Amino acid sequence: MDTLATAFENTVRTASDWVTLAFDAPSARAVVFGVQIGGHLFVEGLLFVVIIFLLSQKSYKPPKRPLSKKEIDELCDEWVPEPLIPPITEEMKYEPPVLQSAAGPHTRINGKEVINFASANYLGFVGHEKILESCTKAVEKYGVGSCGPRGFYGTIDVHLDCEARIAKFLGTSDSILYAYGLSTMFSIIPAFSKKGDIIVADEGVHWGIQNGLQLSRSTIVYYKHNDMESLRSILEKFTQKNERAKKLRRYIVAEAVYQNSGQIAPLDEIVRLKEKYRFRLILDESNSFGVLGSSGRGLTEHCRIPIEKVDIVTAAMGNALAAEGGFCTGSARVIDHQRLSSSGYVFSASLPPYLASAALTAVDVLEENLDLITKLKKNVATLHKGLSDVHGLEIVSDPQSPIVFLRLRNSTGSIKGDLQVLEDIADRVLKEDSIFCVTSKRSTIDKCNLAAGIRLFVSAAHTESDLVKAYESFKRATPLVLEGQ
Amino acid sequence: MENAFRSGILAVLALIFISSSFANASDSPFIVAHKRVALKKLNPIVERISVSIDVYNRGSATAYDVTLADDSWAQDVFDSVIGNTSMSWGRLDAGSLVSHSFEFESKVKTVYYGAPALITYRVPTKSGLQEAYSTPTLPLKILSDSDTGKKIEKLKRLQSSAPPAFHHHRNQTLTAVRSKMITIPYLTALTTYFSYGLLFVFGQLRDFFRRIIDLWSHSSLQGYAPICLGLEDFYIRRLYLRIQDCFNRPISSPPDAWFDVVERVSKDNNKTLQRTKNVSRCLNLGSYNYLGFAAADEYCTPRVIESLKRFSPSTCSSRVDGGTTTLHTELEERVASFVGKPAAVVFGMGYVTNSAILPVLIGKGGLIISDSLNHNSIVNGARGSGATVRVFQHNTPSHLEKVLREQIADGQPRTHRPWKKIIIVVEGIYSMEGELCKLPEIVAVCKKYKAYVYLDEAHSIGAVGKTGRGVCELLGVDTAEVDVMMGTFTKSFGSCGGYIAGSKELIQYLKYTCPAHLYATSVSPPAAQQIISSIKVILGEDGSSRGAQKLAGIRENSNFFRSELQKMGFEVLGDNDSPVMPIMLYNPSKIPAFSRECLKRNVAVVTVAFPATPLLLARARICISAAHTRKDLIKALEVISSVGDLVGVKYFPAEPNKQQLEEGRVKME
Repeated sequence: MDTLATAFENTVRTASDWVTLAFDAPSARAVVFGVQIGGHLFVEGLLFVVIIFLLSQKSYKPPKRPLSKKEIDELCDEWVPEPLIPPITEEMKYEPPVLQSAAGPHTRINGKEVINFASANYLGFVGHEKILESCTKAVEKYGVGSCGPRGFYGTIDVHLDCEARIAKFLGTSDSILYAYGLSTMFSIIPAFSKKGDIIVADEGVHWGIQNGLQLSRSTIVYYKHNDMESLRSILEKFTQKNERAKKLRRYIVAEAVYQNSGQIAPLDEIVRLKEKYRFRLILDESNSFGVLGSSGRGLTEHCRIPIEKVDIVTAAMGNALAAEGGFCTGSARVIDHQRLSSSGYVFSASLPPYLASAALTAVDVLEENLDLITKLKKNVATLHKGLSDVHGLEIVSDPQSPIVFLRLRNSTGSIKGDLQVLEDIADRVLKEDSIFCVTSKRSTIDKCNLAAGIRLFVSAAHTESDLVKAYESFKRATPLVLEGQ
Repeated sequence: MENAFRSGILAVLALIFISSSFANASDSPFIVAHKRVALKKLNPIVERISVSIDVYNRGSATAYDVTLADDSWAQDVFDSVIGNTSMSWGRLDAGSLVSHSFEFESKVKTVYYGAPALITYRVPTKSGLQEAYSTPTLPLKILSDSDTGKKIEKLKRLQSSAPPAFHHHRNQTLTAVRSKMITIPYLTALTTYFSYGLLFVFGQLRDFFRRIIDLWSHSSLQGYAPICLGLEDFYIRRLYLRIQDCFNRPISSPPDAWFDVVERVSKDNNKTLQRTKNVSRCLNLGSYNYLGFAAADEYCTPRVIESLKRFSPSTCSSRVDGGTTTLHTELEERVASFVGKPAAVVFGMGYVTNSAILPVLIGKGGLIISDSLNHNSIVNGARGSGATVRVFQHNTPSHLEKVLREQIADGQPRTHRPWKKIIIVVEGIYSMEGELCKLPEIVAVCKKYKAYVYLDEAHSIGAVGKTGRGVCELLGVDTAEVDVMMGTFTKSFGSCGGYIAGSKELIQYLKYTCPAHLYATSVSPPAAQQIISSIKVILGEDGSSRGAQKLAGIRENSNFFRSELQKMGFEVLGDNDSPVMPIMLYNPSKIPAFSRECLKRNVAVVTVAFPATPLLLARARICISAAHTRKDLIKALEVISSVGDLVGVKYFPAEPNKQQLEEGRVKME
């Protein structure tokens, strides 16, 4: 026992001697820049070696086992793709009526003359002599297509003339033509709004706008259809909570006359809100250009708001102007930016020159014949009044909207079911009374949730008796169809 | 471990000396060539073959050329080329040595089919052009085999069993390789970067001063973020506006072979341009008027005007409502039978055709694999669909296969569920490169992996193929193999709009749910008539042979123009038969120079820069038309050649002209 204690004592003493020796070593007592380093140098040196050793060791990683070639082969063999399209159901086989003559106020379907309420020919410009003449001249002079995008010799002088004419008509500094109405909105929105920017849009906007919103990758919030209180609360939320929002571009997107409901946007209220919360406004005037306002300049004129207050105005020319394509108008900066940044403008062939010529002449004719607008307004009022007491149907659209939008008073519970009933009514009035009108069919990728309805596009070219025939027909046929349900 | 070890080993298989003399006189060039072939097995799948040739000139200086005579090799061989395989004309000084190396890598398990390849080197001598060949380079699998008897046996078997799909490539392999890679000369790349750098610095400097000045002027934009911002806006203001007179040039006549370009003047340093009353008659090398239907046509125009009077310019309604006229149904039937599919649907704009169809066909949980150089409309369509989008290397079937295998094995991101479906989107002719799609190979890959093929024939329909039916006809692909065929009427047919052709069910489904069919105004009736009439002309149903003449014309014109440009030393992209041929410019300063100088000489060309191409790869693009006469083309070549010299865009040395050589000989005698 004693020996064990002595041995232990000896060992400790030897160790402490060693340590003392190490501490007393000349290197350990070194003085660097007048500072005594002391014996810890040895310990630190040891520590350093250990750290280096540990660092040099590979960290532990579970071995990666990528799929072998054989396994990938098997997976590829196993994979069964869905068919390219879902199975075809009966409703997909729908064939629209084929027109045998121009889509004027009266047209020919299956050899029978019908009154056309399916074309947005608001001013009756389909078949207008003067427009036809200018188109013929343009076809003879320029051929049909432009054979290239605007950047690459697809700019023909009529395009520039048409742009200038529209800008002059609306009192803006410049405008820009698009080759297709649908492409106008989905090109413009992504050109001005990018990831991070904020867009507040009406939930009832048409698919072209929806697609533009999606492509812009911005933060998108929908407000309730035509509900200014809902819009206000959303704008409020954005500006109050979010300091950062001030540095972002912020837009409100609305339609003047909604294609999906026929309602008119309360522009004065929207402009008031936009100025209060410092948002910019993008307004689609497709169904109001040439229709609303005392001289057809659209919703801004209708609400007596200077057009400069709306930052970006767009419209399709396939409606009132009875041409094709679309335009956008606004400040010179807004327009110039699009000429290099708007995909539908840069990457697409330009509008066929004869259509630009048609639009140009149509604006001329519109300006010279203001009575067309008065006539249209009268027709809208007549039809609206006539259809307001149809049993089982109610009018959703604004009394001044050129689209009279009829919805079922008692919904069947689903858009599809409603659509079927409305389809039956439309079929019946076409077959029995030769009134050609259409339901608001909706694509499966359209996110709009507004109720389906029958749309009647009123034209200045419809006569009083056409309109009477139309509403009388609805009054007669609707109860019959609804009873049969 | 063994693999890694093996990959290190380089097996030199052949070492052959060839020496030959091309002329007897001591002052003539005397070329000695020396070829080496090496095979390297990087891992079980990847094999790399290096072929190099050293050319030594013992005689006087000469021009020479080296090329891999590759027309017996399959297209696949060149899919993953590392080295430069393109033919190069160069000058070989007396006593100098030049080496050329070609390197190929195979990443697929397919073996290189076909006969052994040759290296050809050609040297012009007094008596003309002389060619010499190296000994054949054998296909890889055979090279790696040590037994000579087996080698020959395998070779014979390979030659007899090469799949027929590859045969039609024999003639065009070389050009495909040439266009494969855009290799910028170092100096050019450097000066291009420098130019953009300089423009950027000056632009920023001007912006800086502008900001200082703006401090004093009151801004009306209180509380609004600027509507245009970022680099995009900077690019427009400080780079694009300086040369904006080269773009958007208005014309005042149809975009035919010759057209009137309206002159414009600027009073504020190009910020805005004003049209003047003056026009200059220019040769049109810019419009997509492939078959010459842009101008008034003796057959089409009267019919168009008749339809215009009967149906008006517009229906003011969508197809599914009141926008379907008898013309539309006739058009759809004609288009379907023309492209060789059971049914078709037409839309009023080509761009919308792509961007509105893709979201209908595929959605979340689906995968779109798109060629890296696909058109913006496809990119937007894919983006709008909500499907995952992957990109494969431009026109490279082997990379497509790689991506497909990876994606099918991995499934959807994060959830790893299998993809619902996969759609491969390719174009027939790539409009910015002039290249033809490698459709047979791509279709084969797609079939193997059960992916659907979506082919955009915007530039190829009507323009290529014996009867104008597009790339399927040209490359011998059965249209039944392509699931969705898309095309536009803007180019070859001189009208507007686009179509989708496919199975009857596909078209029924699209008509039921495609937003462009449901909401957009239908094709303008006169435009529809133009398409119907021009298809009739192309097919000879008008009772004349004008259609066939047009088709032969565009092919001859294109191939003539392309080969002449290449001979002049321009760097021309694209494949034979393609009417689109880009000439590389690279330097930003050369864009306006080339465009303005050509316009001065009454030739209108299109210059393309960012955003339509990558920043570095600015180019001039020539579009040939059947309406061009040989005289027009010769004038164009003269102008382009002189402008090319002036601007300095002949990046390759010119090929010595045979005629000149012979003339020289006459003089000497």
